Amino acid sequence: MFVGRFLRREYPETEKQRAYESGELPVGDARVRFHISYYIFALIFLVFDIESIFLYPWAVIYLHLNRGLAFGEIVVFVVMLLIGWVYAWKKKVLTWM
Amino acid sequence: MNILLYALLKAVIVVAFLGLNAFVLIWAERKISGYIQRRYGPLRVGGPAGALQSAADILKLLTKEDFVPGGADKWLWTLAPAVSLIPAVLVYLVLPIGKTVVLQNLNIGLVFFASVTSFTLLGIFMAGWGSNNKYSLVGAMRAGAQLFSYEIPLILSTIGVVIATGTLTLQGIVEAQAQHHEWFVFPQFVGFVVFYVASLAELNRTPFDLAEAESELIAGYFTEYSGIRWAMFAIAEYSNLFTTSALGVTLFLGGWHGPWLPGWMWFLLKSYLLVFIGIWIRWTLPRVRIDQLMDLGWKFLFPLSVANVLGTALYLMVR
Amino acid sequence: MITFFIVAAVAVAAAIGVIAARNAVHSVLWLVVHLCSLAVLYMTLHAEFLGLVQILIYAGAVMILFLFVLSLLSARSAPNAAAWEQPRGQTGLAIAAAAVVAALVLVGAAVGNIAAPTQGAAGGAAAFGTVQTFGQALFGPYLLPFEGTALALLTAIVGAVALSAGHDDAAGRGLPATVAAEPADGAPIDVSHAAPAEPVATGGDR
Repeated sequence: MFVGRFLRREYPETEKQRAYESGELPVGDARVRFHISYYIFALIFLVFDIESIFLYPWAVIYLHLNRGLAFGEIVVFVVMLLIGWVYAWKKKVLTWM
Repeated sequence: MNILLYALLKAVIVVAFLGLNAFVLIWAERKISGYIQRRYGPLRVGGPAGALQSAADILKLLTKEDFVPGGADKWLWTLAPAVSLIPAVLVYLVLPIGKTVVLQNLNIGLVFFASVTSFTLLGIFMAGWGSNNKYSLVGAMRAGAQLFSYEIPLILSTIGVVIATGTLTLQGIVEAQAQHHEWFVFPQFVGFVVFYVASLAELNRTPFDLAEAESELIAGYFTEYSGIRWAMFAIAEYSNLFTTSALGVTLFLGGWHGPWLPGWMWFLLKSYLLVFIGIWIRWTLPRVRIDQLMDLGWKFLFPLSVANVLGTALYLMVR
Repeated sequence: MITFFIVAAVAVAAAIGVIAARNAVHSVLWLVVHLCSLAVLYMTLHAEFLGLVQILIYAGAVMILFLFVLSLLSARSAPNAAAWEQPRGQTGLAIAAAAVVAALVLVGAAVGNIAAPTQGAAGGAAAFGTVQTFGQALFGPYLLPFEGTALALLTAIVGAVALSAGHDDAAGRGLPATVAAEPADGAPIDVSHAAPAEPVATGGDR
């Protein structure tokens, strides 16, 4: 698909020097252990990602269901997850630091 | 055999459009930013209003040397631009360009869009980690934080529309709007606002461009890239700008629906209008801080989009 | 059928890649390939929704694994900085691999799509795998498991929060929020960790 894009490439110049960064010599290895403070965001993201995926089939058939019942079902579902969200907020996990 | 031939044809069309789109948008962005900042933007390269600037850029990028930076992970580094570009190409499959013009009317087009675009982040991570560069890594990490925070509001903001139409086909959503002569911006205004803000964040565009903040991070995750590989990132970025706008048009602004003009023209007009607003915002607003970014996503847009979903459902039940 | 065998082969190969890769990050990426080929398999079974959800969810999950690797394992690549490198074989292979993946997704989408409308016309039982049937099942007979899922997810959030809240009580709470991606609590890009085992020469020999 993209081969055409690649084929147009040529190598008019040859290697002269190794490129690096900002003109400074790099200090150490860039792949250091990296403290990921928003790790928790990633986990919470995953949970709500799943939630929103579950909402898709519900949304599609909502108008064909018994709406009151369907609404109640989804409210229970969403509220349960919102409890988790409020809990995370109260624990100050959602605050970036 | 026919299927494959069709697939090939579609691929060619998409790639052609992809190139053209990047060509136009890069020039437009520079021109518009010029006008916003009371200067001319590109002028000298030729063509009307310097329109050949992009052509010159492409030629320049094509003649650039191509090499792997020292210490980089060769596989990840070479694959990353392709991984960014593939989702950018694939989403064109499901966009309904006109009443009968859609490359592949998947019955779950919206989910297709969401899941395919989630791969952009993978490309970013691969580039960031593969480059063996601290700026790249930090840029990728930020991009991760940002995409994690805005993916949810983005998905949830589309659900209101899905409830109202009962379909995940993008074509079906447009048809529902055309039938009732009512675009979903009006009943789903909250959804639209959430969608637009979240999509700007997903695109790493300026009020939210922390991932590539050039004053801090040089260029973020593609610091080490140059030449055609860099161009692939740029093309993917501008293509995503267009496709996300086009998705917004499809979901909220009636897609190809409109009077007088043929459908595809309306579609392009509206999409480029949203793109223009995006560019306008980019050159008007300053960059937010990352804690503001996360707060906006998790403490404002997320509850807002949930409320929008439940509110829509409640309204449709009572009505 | 041919699609099945190709995709299955890719899936198996990728699964082997996951365990055979020396580098943890490579492992994670093999996992992506594996999960994507599984998704294509679902699509060939006309469960397009499931396939796409597989991609969507696992893309997120894999990112988290990626973060795990970065923050916990200190995955450092072998020092291959000595030689000047020009992408020779890699580019070609990489393009080929990318093209194969793209083609697979395309074919999967095409196959699924062509089959779907005819099936929908054939009748209710054939609508297997569509979102509609999925929704009907989920909000009909399987409602209780569905709400149970919510409970499980809630537990997941609470667990995650509990783990991390305990963690940052120990570290410096109350430091000003920084603009940078590095956290304020102690370990910004931790250069001291990266004792330059291989001398700093990584870019120096101009």
